[in-house]
Amino acid sequence: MHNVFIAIGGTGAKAAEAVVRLLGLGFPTRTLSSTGGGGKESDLVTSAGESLEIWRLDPDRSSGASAALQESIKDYRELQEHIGSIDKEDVAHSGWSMSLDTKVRHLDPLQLSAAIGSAKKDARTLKQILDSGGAGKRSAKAFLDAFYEEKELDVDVTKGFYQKPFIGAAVMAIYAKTLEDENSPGGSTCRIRSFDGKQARFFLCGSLHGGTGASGVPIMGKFLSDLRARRTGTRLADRPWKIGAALLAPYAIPHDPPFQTIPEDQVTPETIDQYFRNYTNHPAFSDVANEEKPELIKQILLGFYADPKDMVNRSRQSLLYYKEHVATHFDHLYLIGKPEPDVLKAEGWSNGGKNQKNPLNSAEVVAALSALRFFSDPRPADRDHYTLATGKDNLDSSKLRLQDLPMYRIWKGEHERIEVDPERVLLATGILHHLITRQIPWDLKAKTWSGIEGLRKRYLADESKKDVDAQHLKAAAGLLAKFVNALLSEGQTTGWDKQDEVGLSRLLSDNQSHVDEITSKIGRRYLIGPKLDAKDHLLLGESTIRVSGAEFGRWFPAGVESFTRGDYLRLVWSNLFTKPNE
Amino acid sequence: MIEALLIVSPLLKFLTADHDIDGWDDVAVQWLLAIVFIAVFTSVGVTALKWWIKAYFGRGIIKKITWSHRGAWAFVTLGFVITALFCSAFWAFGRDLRTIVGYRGLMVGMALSGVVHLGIAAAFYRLFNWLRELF
Repeated sequence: MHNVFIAIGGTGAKAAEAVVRLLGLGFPTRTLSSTGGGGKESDLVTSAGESLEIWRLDPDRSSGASAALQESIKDYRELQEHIGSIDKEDVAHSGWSMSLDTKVRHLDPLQLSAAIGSAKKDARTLKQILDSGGAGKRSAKAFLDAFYEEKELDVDVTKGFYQKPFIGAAVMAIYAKTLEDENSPGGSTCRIRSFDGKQARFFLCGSLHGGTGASGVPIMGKFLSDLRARRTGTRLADRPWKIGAALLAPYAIPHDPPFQTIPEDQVTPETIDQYFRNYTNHPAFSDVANEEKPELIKQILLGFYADPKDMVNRSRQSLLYYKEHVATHFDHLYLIGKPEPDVLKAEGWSNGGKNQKNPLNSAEVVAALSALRFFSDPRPADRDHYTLATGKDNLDSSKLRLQDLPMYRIWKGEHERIEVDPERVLLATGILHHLITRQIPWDLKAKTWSGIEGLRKRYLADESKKDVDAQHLKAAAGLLAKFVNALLSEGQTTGWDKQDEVGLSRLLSDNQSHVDEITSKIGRRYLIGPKLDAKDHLLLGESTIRVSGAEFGRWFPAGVESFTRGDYLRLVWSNLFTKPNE
Repeated sequence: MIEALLIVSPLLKFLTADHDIDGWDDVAVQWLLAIVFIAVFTSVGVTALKWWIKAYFGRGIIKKITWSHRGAWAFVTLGFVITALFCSAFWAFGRDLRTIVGYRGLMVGMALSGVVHLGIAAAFYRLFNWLRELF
């Protein structure tokens, strides 16, 4: 199955980053029959065998969120290179996790020159888009004056729509029309025609209160839904495309900008100069080029920035709009929010562009989980049900635990389902890291190995293969640790309680006392007999996994002449994950 | 039995120093049986010890039950030492053995017992895959 994650705006890009991190950490979306773990037939819990591409719809080409997304994809690609392969289309494959097209398709809604009949390559303002002045065309100014103030038509929109979806909606609507034309910039990027008649799952993600997200999600959703209806049968069950979306209500409140808005008639070149002199060294302007500072100052003075006071009201209005006009375009719709949004640091204030580097938020991880849930559901669209899920009464949304995250289910056969608990997934990944890096005697010759006969046989004929595998598996394990830090560490993220980071760090640690503690727990309980039970279980939050070194040694893909490192990691992980919780 | 003794007769002569004493061949047979018994007993005992060490201290932990060649040879050496000690003790407490087998026979006997022990260990290693865990 081919999956497409459409990241709309900065929030969408952060959620996409979280999806990539979660897939890299081993979050599954399906089951596969396999023979392993002592030769028994079993179901492998995995995401491998499916594929994902990411589209980013945002006029802000160089946003901080985009850079973070690229970084996560770079890490994912590196992980897949170590345990799988990269093909000539730059798609990263492995037996460990979903194949990922490492080229993010950037859909720039300002690339409209043919659509708006303008000779200019890229429009920068709403006026340039809606009143483009193409040859033989009348001015639309009189019409536009009924809907927009002059300042709204003149603001530079190349960094986003400043939480004003009424600006973004007009742009997005024109842009969406161009996507069906494969000769347009957008059409040639997304190649929507290539999905005709094929099974695909499209998942859109954006904020309810933002500018790009709030305008882009409904319009892209409608575009895909209309296209699907025109090209396929009328019955939902007959349509090969499924369309889902996650909408994020305010979950992070930015600080106020360095100075306040002033009446529009006071915004003059002299005023801007004065503010430039007073604030040019302010941290908010530290990474802004001098020639861009006057424009940024003007935007703030005119009120074109994310105003925290309006967020909740804007979200409420967006929800009403969704209820009345948009919800029917989606097969699945997820609404995510926090009762008390997190407050972002004042020194990190930015109005878009590469300086807008917000840490990954736990709410964005929840959005990513909703995407994985959507990608995991093989059933045809069913509009007859809806699920109302909420957090616990005493949930502290600024200090989430992994056990607070929503679970989802993957299908095993036609009727059975396996629950995917994020806390358990990370526990299995942490134990996998420990087993691969600390429990296999890579430094000894394979012919001397005991208790790990499957791997031993693999290397008997060729010791150098062992050294190559060791190098790549250890590198992959290092990347798994990096993914854990990117998801949970206090320095890089927002909205988590520290306990899970501490718990996982013990599993990932190379500190000898931690290693000895875990080694002691995975020793066999019984000296003799067929039972291989471990002395104690390994714990993370409310999740436990009991595994002995003896059991681990027996896990090997049986009957497979050659297998990849990714296959081996996934087998071990799946066997860990499917152990019963105690 | 007599035919078997005739076959091993050169070995019996090799294991004994004095062939002029009556009944030297009976003593030689005793000595040979003792050597083989000690070798088998030592192999089984060392294997059991190795199993116990790996099971009790290793507890199925791969790194702990995987011994390098040095570790494996250390146990073989231990087997040699044990067979030598048992052979010496058996020889020392038998007056006829001291007289008929002599020091030369003792040395030969100790070496033969060690070789038989090594042979049994190698056979365990090769023939019984499950015992690989012990070696």
